[in-house]
Amino acid sequence: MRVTTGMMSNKYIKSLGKSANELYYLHDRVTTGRKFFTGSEDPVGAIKAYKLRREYRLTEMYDSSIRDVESFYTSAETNLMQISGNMERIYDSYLRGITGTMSADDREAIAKEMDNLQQSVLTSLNAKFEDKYVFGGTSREEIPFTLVDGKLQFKGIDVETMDETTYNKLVGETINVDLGLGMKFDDSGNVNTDTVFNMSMSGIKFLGYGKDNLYSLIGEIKDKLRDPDFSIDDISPYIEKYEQQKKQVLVNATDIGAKSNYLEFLELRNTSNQDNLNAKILDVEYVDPAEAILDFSMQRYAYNAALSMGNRILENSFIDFMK
Amino acid sequence: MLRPTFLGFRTATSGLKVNQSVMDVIGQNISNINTKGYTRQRLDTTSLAFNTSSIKFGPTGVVIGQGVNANGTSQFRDPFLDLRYRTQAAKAGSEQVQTEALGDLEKIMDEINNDKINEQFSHLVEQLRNLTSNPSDPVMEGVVRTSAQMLTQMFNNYSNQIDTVRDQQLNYLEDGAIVRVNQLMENISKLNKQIRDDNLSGNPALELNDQRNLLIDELADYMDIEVVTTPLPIGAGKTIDELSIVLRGQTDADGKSIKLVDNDQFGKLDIDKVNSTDDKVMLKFTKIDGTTDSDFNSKIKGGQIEGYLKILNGKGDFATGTDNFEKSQGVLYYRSMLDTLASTFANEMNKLNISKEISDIPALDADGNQVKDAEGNLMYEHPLFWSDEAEITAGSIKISQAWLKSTGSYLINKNTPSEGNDDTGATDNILKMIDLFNKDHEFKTPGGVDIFKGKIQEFLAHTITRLNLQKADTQTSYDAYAEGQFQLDYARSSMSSVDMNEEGVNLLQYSKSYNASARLMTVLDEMLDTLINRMAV
Repeated sequence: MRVTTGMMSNKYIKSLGKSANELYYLHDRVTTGRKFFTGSEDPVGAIKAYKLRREYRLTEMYDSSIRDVESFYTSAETNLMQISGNMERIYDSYLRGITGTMSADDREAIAKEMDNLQQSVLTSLNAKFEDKYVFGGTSREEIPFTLVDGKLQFKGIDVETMDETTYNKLVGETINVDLGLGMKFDDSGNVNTDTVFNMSMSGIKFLGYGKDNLYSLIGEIKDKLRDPDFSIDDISPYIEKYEQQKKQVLVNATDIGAKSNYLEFLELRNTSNQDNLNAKILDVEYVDPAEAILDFSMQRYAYNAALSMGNRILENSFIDFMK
Repeated sequence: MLRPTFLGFRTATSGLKVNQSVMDVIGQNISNINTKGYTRQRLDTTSLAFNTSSIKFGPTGVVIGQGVNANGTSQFRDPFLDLRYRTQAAKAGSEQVQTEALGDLEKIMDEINNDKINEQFSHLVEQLRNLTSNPSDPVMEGVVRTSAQMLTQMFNNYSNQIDTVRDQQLNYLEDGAIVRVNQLMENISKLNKQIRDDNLSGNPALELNDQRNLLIDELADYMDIEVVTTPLPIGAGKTIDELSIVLRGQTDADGKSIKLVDNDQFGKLDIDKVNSTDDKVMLKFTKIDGTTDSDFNSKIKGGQIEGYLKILNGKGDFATGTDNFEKSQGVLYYRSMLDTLASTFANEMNKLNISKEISDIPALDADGNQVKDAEGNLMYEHPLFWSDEAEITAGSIKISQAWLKSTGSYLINKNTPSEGNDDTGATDNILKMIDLFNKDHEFKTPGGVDIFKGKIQEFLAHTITRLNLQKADTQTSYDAYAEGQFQLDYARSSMSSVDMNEEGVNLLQYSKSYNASARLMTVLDEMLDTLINRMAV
């Protein structure tokens, strides 16, 4: 093939441009650590990257949700321990009160103490954590446990006259959160409860409903203590009921403990998911620094060689040797 | 045969003259070594001999040639290489325009290097999740609203930028490509006339031919053309070539080829109109005979013009017509994809923000439009997203006035009221909103064609990936065609460009030949001197 000076210089300029382009590209790789800068450079990598990023973003969200629920449960546990402690003290007072050797004044003193403790239990039941009532089910704006004319109401419904259906509905209130259990809805738009975490706690569950609810029970014990015709036989039957309710509180406390453990497990699992995804993202989107620097150095070498070649290619022609 | 006394002087003179002319041609070649489009020239020579056909008796003795004759100058050029180069140029031109436009679109939508709309979707989901920790809290809902508002603004921004790309492309076509094509057609026809006039008077007009070839090369970048030369007898058995340029393989209604340039006449390319209904750009061509061809789009195959039409008119899956450019994925396709995303997302969200059962709410009419009441309010109970136009598009999506003005809690957190007096802490409906991003939706064109089934963010990623793939494809094609074009130009240069070594060698060779002819003259002179002055003295 006939090769002319013009062809040589054209081709040289073209390949020099190509080489410089490649050099800057590899330079960008080294400085940013990225494998590609636009999706069109590596469409398949981009598809993977978008997917991994979405999944990673989800694990971040799960992580913060799990922590939120965890601290909610810690608060619930604290309050429940307080309630449990108060009930223990009421139980002590109750045992002292029924000995029968006490005077009416002494009994009044115990009843007073019970007043305070009863109030204290109510306060604990209405405890708030981050604007939410811990034992109020879905209540957020209205105080869940209120006293109307001395009668205890839960969410505006009288506890003593509450029937079983209402009770079940109230206990069944849910505050579902998505903690990465694969939340699913069925066709009629109801969430599959196995796929979400229910963080709702109804105080009424361990307070009980009807005549024998804990609050009314304490009230009645108080009344009996204050009764001028006080007799041990009158007050004794309450001990069994009371012990039963006290046990309910403890059962709920253990339940919360178990859920806390489960949350810890979820957090751990989520963190390990996150680590895996992070490793995958690094693999898909980022270069090994050593490799990037090596590539860059090799290209710089090639570019410099091309530059120094240029002088030699275009140096002499026959004209330079004519006499 | 009798030899005239001064016969040899003619031979020597012709040698001197022709070698001088060769030196002039070498001079022309060397001085144009870097001139763009210059084709290496040569002097065509033949050796001279007696013409013995007209004499009565055959020549006796030896017949010796009588020197050299210069017939004219010509070029080293291969028309077949020109043809291949121009075909390749048309392919490269089309891909180049598309690559650049898709690159602009990619800059808008690609999210590999920075966070954009995909990240904003994630941000919105994150805020909804945060809301499940504090349902019905106006402050937290405010954060959700701000995030949603950012999202709508991003949609608007994308739509604006995509429209800008389209306007730019239309501008490049109208004020760039078409103006240049018309200039080229006019200039080529002018050169045709000049060259023909020169040829008539016996001037080969090689330099004008070079100029014309450059212009034809450039025209080939815009359209797929074919050069047709017709020999025209000018008497005395001589012919000159007339040149016309036609669209390759295209014919008009009468089955005749479409002439862009015919000798010294030329046509005119224009944008006929941009359809207001479907934004389609229509080209028209005013033929040499003055009639117009308004269905010129269908005649365009290849070249930058094709690239522009594909980008401007391409609707991909959203195409309703049968126009060949409508099927390709242009700017309108990507805008429609975004519109589909915006409307699907907004309508699904709006359908969710209700306190009643979904079936109670008239969501969409038979045509899939949002139902509005007499005042133009959406019939959703508590619309979140809104559009002043009939349908929600990426360009018009915004937060509803009701949501914007709400001071308390606006997002419905529960569809079925509970037994107690307060369920503001429930999360059921917010979870449904979050689930909207987790579940598969069917994305359809307004014509009802299925385009994608999957999650909202997957559809976005699908759209971006489509763009990425298309950009990568056209880039690869362009690189291949451009490389082919370079190789063909290289082959052309191999034949036509001036080489310094060659010209140097020629310089030496022909200066020696010139000296030899001069020497011949001197020797002949000495011989005559001997014959006349010294003989028989």
